[in-house]
Amino acid sequence: MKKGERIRYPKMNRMWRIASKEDLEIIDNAAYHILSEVGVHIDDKECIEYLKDAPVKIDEKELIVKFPEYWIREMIAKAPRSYVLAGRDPKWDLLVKSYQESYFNLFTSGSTKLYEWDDNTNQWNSRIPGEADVIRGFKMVDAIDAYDGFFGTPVEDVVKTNEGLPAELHTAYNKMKYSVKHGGPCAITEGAMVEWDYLGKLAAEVQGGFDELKKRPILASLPSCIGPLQSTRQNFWATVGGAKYYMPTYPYWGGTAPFTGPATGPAMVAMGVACTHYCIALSEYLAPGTPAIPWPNTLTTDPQSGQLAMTPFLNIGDGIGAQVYQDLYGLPVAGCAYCLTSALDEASASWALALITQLLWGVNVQQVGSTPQAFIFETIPMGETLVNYCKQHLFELTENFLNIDNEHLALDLIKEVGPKGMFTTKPHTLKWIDQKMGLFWRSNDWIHEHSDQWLAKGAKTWTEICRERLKELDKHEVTPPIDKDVDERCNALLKQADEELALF
Amino acid sequence: MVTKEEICNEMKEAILAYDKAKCIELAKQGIAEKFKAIDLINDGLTPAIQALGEKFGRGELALPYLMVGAETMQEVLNYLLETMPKGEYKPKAKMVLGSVKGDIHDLGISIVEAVFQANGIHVFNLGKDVPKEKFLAKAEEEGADIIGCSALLTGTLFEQKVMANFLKKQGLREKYIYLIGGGACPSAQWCEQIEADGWATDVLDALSVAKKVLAEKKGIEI
Repeated sequence: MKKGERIRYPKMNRMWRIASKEDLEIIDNAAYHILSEVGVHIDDKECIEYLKDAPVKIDEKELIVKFPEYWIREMIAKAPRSYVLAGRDPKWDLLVKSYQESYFNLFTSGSTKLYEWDDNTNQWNSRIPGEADVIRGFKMVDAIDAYDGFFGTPVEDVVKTNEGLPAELHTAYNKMKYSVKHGGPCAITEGAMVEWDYLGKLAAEVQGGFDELKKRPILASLPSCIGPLQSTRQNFWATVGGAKYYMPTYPYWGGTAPFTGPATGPAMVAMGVACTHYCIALSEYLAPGTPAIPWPNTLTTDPQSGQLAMTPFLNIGDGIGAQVYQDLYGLPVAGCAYCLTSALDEASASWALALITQLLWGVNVQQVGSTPQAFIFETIPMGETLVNYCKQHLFELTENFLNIDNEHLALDLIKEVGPKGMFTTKPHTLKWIDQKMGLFWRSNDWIHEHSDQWLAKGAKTWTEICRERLKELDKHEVTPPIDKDVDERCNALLKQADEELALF
Repeated sequence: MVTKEEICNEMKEAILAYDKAKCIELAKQGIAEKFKAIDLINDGLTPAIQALGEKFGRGELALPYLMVGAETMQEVLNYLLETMPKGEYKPKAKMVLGSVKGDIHDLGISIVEAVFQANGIHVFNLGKDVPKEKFLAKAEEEGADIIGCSALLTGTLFEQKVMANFLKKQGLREKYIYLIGGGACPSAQWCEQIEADGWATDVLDALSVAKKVLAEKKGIEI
């Protein structure tokens, strides 16, 4: 693959299925049972008011709402099976056509800390990230074609947050300004509807008005149940705000086994699907036809350290939940592949495995998640290589490789070359060696030379090679730049938001 | 009436399109038109193969394509050489290349041949399982600048030392640049031990080593 060339995923003719349709139905029925018999805790009376006309059972004392199966099913049926996740530049619009044929990678981390390598002391330094770091991350991701957009932000603007300003609004606007790609979800975690109103106005300015924003939504919402069947007011507002401004929604579950989720796989998946069902139903109730990209996440926490853990179950559990939505509802799904450690050698191994396993069972919008504990810029080029490596695997499962016909079996050629010949310069070889076919992919930044040569040249690690690429990525110019008038109007909105929403 | 420039340009395009038959046809047409074979080589073949070599060096061309280009060039070159007096064609440098005695692997040297040809070094590829005497005889016959010995198997690596000692015994060690390579893990230490002039296990490294040593020892700039 040439540098800078945008390679698309092939159609997945051979998606791996983890569970049978019967098993998926059992899990789905369990999710309905949880929603109708156990219910969801919505921690705010004002939020529950939104559901007063829905056929739900509200326990006003405990603030628990129970949802009948038929209503949830009715709401999920309103979610479209195809839609657009727009970029600022229409060339980067992501057309989600169906769950069998549309696959995208969105970069993310959302870290509130930054690690930077110091060449003088040969060690990582930790610091609080600010706006310049946020912008740097957006521009780098914009520069790499393997990334189709963002799922949040590479790093948060903690400096502004500490000043009591609405940093997430600034970050959302910087994302639209310093990249032309799809912006994905915005994590408005503190503010209520007033902050969502600012976000909607900013997005509308960038996309050319509210009508255009409705057709080409550049941002999305990220509603969730954060604990065991617990919908906080912040997450509820995400649904309401997203619905008001035509934003697609990425409903997910944030519970983690074995603390806020049960310690067995099927139970985790059922909980994940239940919470995701709830979030989809709420979005479709408030704004029927909202694109919903379910992410029935099944996180685990290491029971010894208490830290989030990238266990195999995350990939398997997410996959089963995703297949509930794909196979029973025909909905494209989201998934997350994070490297949950700061040691990049370890991270890259688990990261690659997470990416490929999820892709093999067909996740449509995949988060390429860099270290969320402390963001490291080197992971941006690192993730590019891993994404392309995974695409290579998928190519080999398609008709490009596994089409068992005369051309691909090449028996005539094998006979022509014979026992002593070479295939190298035969027309068949030249035809099929095209790297776009995916069979002869090579990374731009892995070591291809002999070990002795590598040693003689200084034995650079992959992280060091990625670090060298950062200099090149830093030179990237975002094209086209945002319109000057739009920029002025958005800056005026942000100034107004700072004044209105400042905490101190 | 066709001009020499037109023929040369079309030959170049034919090589870039990997069209061997057309290139040979053009070379024959050029000779029939009484154009000098050396001009067809210098203005038609050489720039085309160099263009392919540059593309390969930039990582924009896969090896099989370069090898097809080199193969095409070699065939047309052989035809043109037959039409001209021996010695008139003077490439920048000449190399005798082969896998050492007992080593039956020749993919690596085919790759080296293609890349070196594309960079102006005329290669006489002796193939696999080549005895030391044959390396030297060909080098003497063609007036080579470089002798290149490849070994893929660790069990044949010692043959690189045998070749170096043979050159010394013949009193011809200083006459030739002696390069070693291949997958049997030659190293800087081995290179120094057998007193070779350079080593590589990778074709692009081999090219840069060859260029460096040619400039240092023979004053030839590639």
